[in-house]
Amino acid sequence: MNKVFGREKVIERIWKLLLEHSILFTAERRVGKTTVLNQLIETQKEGYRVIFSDLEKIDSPLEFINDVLNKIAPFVSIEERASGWFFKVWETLEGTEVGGLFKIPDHKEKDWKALLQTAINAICSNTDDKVVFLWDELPYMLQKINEHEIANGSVERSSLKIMDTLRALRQEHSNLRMVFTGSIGLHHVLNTLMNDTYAAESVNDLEKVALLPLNENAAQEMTQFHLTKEGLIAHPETNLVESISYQCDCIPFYIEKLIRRLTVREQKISEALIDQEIAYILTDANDDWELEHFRSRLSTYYKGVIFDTNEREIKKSAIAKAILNYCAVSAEPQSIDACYRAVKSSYSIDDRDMIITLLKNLVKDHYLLRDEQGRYRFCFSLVQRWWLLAEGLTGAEGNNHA
Amino acid sequence: MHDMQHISAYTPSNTDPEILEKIFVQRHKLLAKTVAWCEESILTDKKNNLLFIGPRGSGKTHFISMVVNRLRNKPDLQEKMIIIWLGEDDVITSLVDLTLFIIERLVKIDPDSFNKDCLEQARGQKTEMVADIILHSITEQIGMRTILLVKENMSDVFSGLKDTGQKKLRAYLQEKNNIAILASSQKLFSGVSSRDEAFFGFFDIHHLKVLKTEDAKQLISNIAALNQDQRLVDFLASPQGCYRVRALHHLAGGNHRLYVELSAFLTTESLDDFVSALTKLADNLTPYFQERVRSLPPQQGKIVQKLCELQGATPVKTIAEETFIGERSVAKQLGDLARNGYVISHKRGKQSYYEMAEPLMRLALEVKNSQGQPLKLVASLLRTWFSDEELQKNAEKFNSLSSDYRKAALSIDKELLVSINNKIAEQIVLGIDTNDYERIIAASSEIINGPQTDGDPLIQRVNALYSRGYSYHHLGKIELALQDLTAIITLPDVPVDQKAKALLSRSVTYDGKGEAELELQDLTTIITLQDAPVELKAKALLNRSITYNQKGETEQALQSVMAVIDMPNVSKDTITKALFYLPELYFKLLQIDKAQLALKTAFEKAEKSNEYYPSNTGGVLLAINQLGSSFWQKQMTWILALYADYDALDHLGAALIYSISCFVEDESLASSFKKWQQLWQEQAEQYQEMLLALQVLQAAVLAVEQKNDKPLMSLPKEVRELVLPLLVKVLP
Repeated sequence: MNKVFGREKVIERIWKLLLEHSILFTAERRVGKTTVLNQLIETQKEGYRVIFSDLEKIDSPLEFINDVLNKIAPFVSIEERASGWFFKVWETLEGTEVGGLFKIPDHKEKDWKALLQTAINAICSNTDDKVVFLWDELPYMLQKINEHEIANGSVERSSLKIMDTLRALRQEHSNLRMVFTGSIGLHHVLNTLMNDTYAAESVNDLEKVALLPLNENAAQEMTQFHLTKEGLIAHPETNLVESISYQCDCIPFYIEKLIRRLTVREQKISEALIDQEIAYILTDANDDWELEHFRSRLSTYYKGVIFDTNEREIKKSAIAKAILNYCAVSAEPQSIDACYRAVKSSYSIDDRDMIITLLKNLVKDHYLLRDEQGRYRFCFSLVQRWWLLAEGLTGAEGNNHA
Repeated sequence: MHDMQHISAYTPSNTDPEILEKIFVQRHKLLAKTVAWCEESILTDKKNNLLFIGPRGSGKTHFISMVVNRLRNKPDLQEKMIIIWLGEDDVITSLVDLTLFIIERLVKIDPDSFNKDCLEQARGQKTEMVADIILHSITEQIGMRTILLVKENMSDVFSGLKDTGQKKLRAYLQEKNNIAILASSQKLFSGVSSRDEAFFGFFDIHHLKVLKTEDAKQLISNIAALNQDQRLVDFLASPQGCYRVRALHHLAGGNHRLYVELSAFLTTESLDDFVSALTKLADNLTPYFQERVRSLPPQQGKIVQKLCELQGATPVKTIAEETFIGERSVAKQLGDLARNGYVISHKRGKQSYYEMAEPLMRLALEVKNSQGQPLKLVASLLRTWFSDEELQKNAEKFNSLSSDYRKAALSIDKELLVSINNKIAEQIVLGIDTNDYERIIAASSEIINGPQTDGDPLIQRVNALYSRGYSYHHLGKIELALQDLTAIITLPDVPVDQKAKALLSRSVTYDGKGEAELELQDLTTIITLQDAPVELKAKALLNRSITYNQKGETEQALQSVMAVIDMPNVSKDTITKALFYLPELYFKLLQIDKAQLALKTAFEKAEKSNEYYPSNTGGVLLAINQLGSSFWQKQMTWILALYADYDALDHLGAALIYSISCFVEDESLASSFKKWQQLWQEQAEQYQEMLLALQVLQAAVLAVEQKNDKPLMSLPKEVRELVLPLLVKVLP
């Protein structure tokens, strides 16, 4: 088992919630979502069957059902597969087995909803265990299915139906659990497929678990571990460990990446070298830390336009960017009104509610954090620093540091 | 001739692993780490998927071959690891292809453990199912083992997989966690760099750096050692060898393949000659470069050939006119060529200039068209430029300082290794080898601060002070360097030679601080020091001459340098420097006949093989310039003929180029720059070897007049890069 830091509590929480609920697991990229999913599999409790699936490869409802059945198959005994309930289900679905893989024939595609119900019903009815599906990249699957249908001129809206069907199944089976997670926000995908209310309903029974960066102690412990493992310094000096974890915003991916970079440098590790590496990373055109995606995804996440007071169209993404630019240059968190004023200095808008909604979404999408006083600041100082450089902004002290 | 070991410049994976290890340079840490990461992938659940990015010839295959070889030599991995290396001939057009290659390799590696029965089951199935079936079979068969999938040109694999295949593969890797990838690519590709793609963020990407000059030298030296050519190894360690490699690096850049290719035929003589080495290298590489041009679409090939002909950076419009291709098409094709690393562009106002990215490619492809003249002229210039010390900043004094320092520092390990605590000695030697001055300081301080086991404590102390002072100097801590040198000088009972050496070094340090009086004091002390070594006295006299000259005390300077020339038992290097320094002083004293005689004498008396033959050509040119324009024509005619007679026109050309900086730095000379250039043009154009220098001079004059670098675009890239720093004061 790989060493995991600082996730014991969230894993414990997930197991507790799974007693009664399914989960919507949200996490910004690189925070360690996959690690947590892997840990759930590793720490599988008795009375649970945890099944992991990366749904990115799925582009039709039938493929989804095939995947479900193939993933459950290893948990089913040979007898059940040969002549028990699994075999009967297979017969009902008219499935075949080729090269060890189960497949439902393509002509059954139009009945996929019934097939999905049949499959899940059978799985849940034939075990006392709680069946937990860890579905990673679910939003991608929904997007792909939708795009396929649009391309084929279909009006099926299968993605919506999948979500509805899964919700109904969750209600029906007390031993069925689902954990939805993905690299892109599920709320964005659902909002694209349906209006806001309907989107919220299909997942309103799920408990939301947000995976945040590590706490300071765990981040430092992780840093110390990796430094020692890479033989960088035998007894990591506290300030170096603190520096690395702080500058990486306690995000595991960045900590590991930074240490990797330091590993192949010929120089002795020092705070100056760490600063130098971070500065290089923030300006490197190769964008190894994938910070550019925070900016480039704005147009995908914040689609649509609003109209200013002169009836001119303004892209929502432009307003979102204006808010982020303002927060980037501010040393202190900013109130709603301050953000509103900042946007109004660039655009002729008169819609405070729209700004509040945008701010909420920016929090959901891990751009910003809201503090107890209802003020907003960048969620990750690293992203803020990058943003200042990428947008050519000057910080509050007149330099490009947050 | 030694038996040359076979080292494939194009297929390192065919080279004996031991040879690859012996010649490996630069990336030792990265190699060790990569092996460790692969090991982690095999022994644990953590899969490190590694992608190494580097242009053609940057050593990717060599690196990956070494990783694989090292892994194969680890007995504890063999049961858990299966290495599948997909070659260039394994063309992958889909996920099915990839899975087929993997399973076929598995069966080939171990037919008793693996089978491809699943292929029978997969026949007749839909394509989407086939890959799933084969992957399922692979999973079952490999059990708890991990496949290390090795692939170069990974971008081709991604092109073949396309979006669906990539997503399926990504999902499989994520779910089964039984494959780790070790891959390389010439550049980043959208499959890994585009946010929308499945593999975005999947790989741990490392960009391989090009060789620096030191690394290039080490690579050539390693190959020479392998071929038991100790002469070449020694030559490379010498200052002259370093200069040659610097010249080579300026032209060839940091491309591993070029140096491996060069090493196949390089000898001390050919490297020293330089022109012949470069000509042969270009000749050997021509088929490779021609193949690359042939692989381009026709229009792009035509453009490349035209750019090779045109030499300098050329506007798009001109390229279009010369190739008879529409301007828009040319612009588009140039964009593609730039993206693929064939050309580079420079934007000047609204115009974009393009030129070949690799000077060596340009020169090699042009060899046939112009009998190799451009290559020879450039090679000749670079050979001189990087070896002529007077063209380097603070050349005379600083270089002698650093070489003396280095020799003294290096002597520690020979003299004191038995007596000093070995660990300290090791640290000093390691510090010298890696230019880790902090390490040298720390180790030297240990000796200085406490007596060591055996041996002469005074000698230990003196040497330690010297190496610490050397290190302080390199770190710019001049006051501390002076302190250590002063400590040597004032040590009671310090041997005369050590004192003289320290005085000389301190004088150079004072010179660097602009403290001429203190410098002269130290030099005079050496000169008058009884029993000081002759060589050190000679050096002190020469340095004193230079300093007097800089102060305008030319008569005093003349006396000092004459004393060197008349001194017996002085080294050839010092005598040669003195002989070539004298003419400048006579010119400054307006004793033209004596100056001319002195320079002729220098050429006659000095040995052609000496490093400083000739030297101070720049000083002589400056002195001629200062005579006034009425003298120029005659002196130009004379000096051209003299240098031609002694086959040294390359030095004159290099010095002439360097003289540009004098016109730029001294505003009083600026107005005469054009006349200077025009006269040289008239006098020198009959000499083939001077043509490049004349071209540079003309471009420089225009650049100064126009106050922009556009006129320099007509110069070849490798020459322009030498000239630009000289004009930095006048260009925006």
